[in-house]
Amino acid sequence: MKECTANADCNTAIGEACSEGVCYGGPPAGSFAAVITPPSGRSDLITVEVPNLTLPADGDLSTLVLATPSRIGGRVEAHCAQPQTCEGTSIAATIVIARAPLFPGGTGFSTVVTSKDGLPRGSNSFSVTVPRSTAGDPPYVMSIVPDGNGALPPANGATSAAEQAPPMSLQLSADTDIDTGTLVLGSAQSQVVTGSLTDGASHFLQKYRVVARGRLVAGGPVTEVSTIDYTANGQYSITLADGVVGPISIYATPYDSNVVAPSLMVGGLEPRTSLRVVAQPANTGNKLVVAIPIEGLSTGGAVVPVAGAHVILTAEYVPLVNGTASATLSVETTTGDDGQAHLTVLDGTVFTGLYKLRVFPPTGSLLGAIYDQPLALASIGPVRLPPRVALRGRVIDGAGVPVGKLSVTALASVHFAWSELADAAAFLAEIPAPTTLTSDDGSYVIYVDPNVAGVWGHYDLAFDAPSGVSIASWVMRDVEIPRQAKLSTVTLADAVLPESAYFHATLADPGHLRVGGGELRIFSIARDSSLCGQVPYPPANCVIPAQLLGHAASDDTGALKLALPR
Amino acid sequence: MRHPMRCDPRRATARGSMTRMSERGAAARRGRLANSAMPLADSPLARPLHHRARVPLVFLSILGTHAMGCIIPPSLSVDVQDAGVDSPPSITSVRSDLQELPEPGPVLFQANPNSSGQSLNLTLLDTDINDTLYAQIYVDYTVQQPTPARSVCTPASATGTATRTSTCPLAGLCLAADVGVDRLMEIVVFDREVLTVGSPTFKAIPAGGQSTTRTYILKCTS
Repeated sequence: MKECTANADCNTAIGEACSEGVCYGGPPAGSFAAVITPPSGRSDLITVEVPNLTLPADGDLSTLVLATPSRIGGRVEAHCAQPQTCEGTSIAATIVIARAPLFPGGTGFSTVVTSKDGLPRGSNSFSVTVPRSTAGDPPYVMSIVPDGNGALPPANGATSAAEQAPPMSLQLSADTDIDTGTLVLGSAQSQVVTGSLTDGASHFLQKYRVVARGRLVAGGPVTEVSTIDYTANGQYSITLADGVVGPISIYATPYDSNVVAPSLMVGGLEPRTSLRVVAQPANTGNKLVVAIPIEGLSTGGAVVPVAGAHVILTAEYVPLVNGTASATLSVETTTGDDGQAHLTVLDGTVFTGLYKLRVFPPTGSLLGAIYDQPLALASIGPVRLPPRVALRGRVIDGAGVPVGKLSVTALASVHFAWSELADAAAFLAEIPAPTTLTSDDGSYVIYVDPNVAGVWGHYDLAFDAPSGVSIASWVMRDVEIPRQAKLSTVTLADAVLPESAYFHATLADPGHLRVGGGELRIFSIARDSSLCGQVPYPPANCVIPAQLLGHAASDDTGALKLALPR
Repeated sequence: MRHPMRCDPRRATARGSMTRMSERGAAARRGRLANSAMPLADSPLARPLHHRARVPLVFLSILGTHAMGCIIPPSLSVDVQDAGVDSPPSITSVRSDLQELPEPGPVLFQANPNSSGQSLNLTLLDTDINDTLYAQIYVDYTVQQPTPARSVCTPASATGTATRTSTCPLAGLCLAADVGVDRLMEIVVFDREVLTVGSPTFKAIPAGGQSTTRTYILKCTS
């Protein structure tokens, strides 16, 4: 921080002003938003989104007031289908309440609460706080998913809430405290889908988790939309959520750990479907244990086994005839010190030629990932992980002095992610972002995958100063990997520390009492959305994510100081 | 200022002379020490002993049968440390874009490959002011079925103060298979760089290093 005794010591031409011995202000150009969060111990306060934040020229953000929340309470019950006798107690469920962001590219608001099980009528089973809605705010979407929907049935043989009641979704506005009353999952009119699971010889399949997937609301995400049936005898019955939006798919996943069997899926069904047989294709074959050697080149040039690599082998059979089940077998493991991935697969002809391999190298490896590489079971050879590319650079300040101990992280840029098909983009996101520290001479080297799924990489390099050092964090955006097959190193131009603009504020509650342990985050809103037209797979309603410019927590007096890059 | 030694630590036995605050690398799995900060495999929600401590607490020694044990309180000073005593790191706060995250949650994150901007910010404390701290986030990790870290946080380098910060990218935290299922999320901070091989798998650090964990119930949405 630049020290001062008077304004004349600061760069007043850009608005800086001296306060408490520090030059504050001189804000960067752009459009900004902020999110202010209370400490976890203040349940009487709630997160505030400031969609349009003006950064003051003198750096004084003044007092930022946290808000009191609206409280949403209610109870969740399962519909009591006749002729059952029900106790009318609440059921356990996970309730997610989310709202779209108030500024473009923001993360919005979301929270999760659990509905308690077994509470008698007359008492609420859940209570949660959310930011109070004001005119023009998007509505909250409340999703209620009964508990006990895991991969395995309840261990004690009891019937879980997810087996009794389907999920629900509803919209609401919270301009005041709300009591939802009793939310009943399912109804007398809920569509029931029954059927059987059979193998290729029409024998009933045992120990499968059966569920329907679709959308709870039009335009919503695809999610589970029915009760769960953990069928032990091959007969299933699931109840669809009311108002489900089709088409739906029925998924059957084996849960017997002693069995190697594919998951089955029948798709394209209408929500009014009442009867459906899910038939496993014939010729899935028998169990086959395979060992896949994973290797790579060491820094010395020798070929060495790769320990700690996460290996996933998947085969997906998609039938030619609509309405019959597709079958997916997916197995995974981690290589041992010998670099071997030991997996148990099926050797049937239905999967011949369909096995594909994915490999995630160990964290911090100089070796890259493999995406959907075909693997023939009959001729398994060593799998060579490709080398990563070294991004080399140096960080200096405005006077050319090297800057050490800055953290440097390479994140796949939005350009990279939106250049991939959805499945490859998800694979790309699973690769942990490499990170390192600059040396005392300011140099750094960080290893990245040059391309994934045939798409050449673009990375954002994020530079962060250690705590207690008054340097703003900044990002070198969209560093493109040159499209050269044998490339091993990319030398980047020196990264010059941007000038830092300092700001100060005080956090307070609505009673004007100062709040310690809260946090202010300032985001830069992208106004140029041309990237949406430059990439092959932008999201629907393409919005460039807002970028976090800086953040700081308030001290015990409620005061906070933060630095933003100019 | 260091407290004067009241006995010769060289006469203390290796076992039982002092209650350990947290795990020490590969030696952590030998025996079960009463005050281990590393969650036990069968008790994933055990809380770290020195949760939110701003200074190390003075521990009483547990005298073994053959002990020539001494009560040697760790130094409360951050400027001079006994070269033989490594203070463990601690996590003083965990924040997402939306809120501070108190244990055990539940905490909610999206499975979204486009969410490259989302992150967790950790505030860490280690009175070994020259230690660089390394944090990683694991999901549903068990010793029997170890899984690699879903997120590697920025190294928190030593700057001469006990407090450090670290940022954890969250793009790969929630996978599609995690949506709608409860997972166990561990934020583990090590005061040594994590080794690529060793035990426990994906969490091995050099001998003498220590770690601390915060554990949350993780819920992922689509």
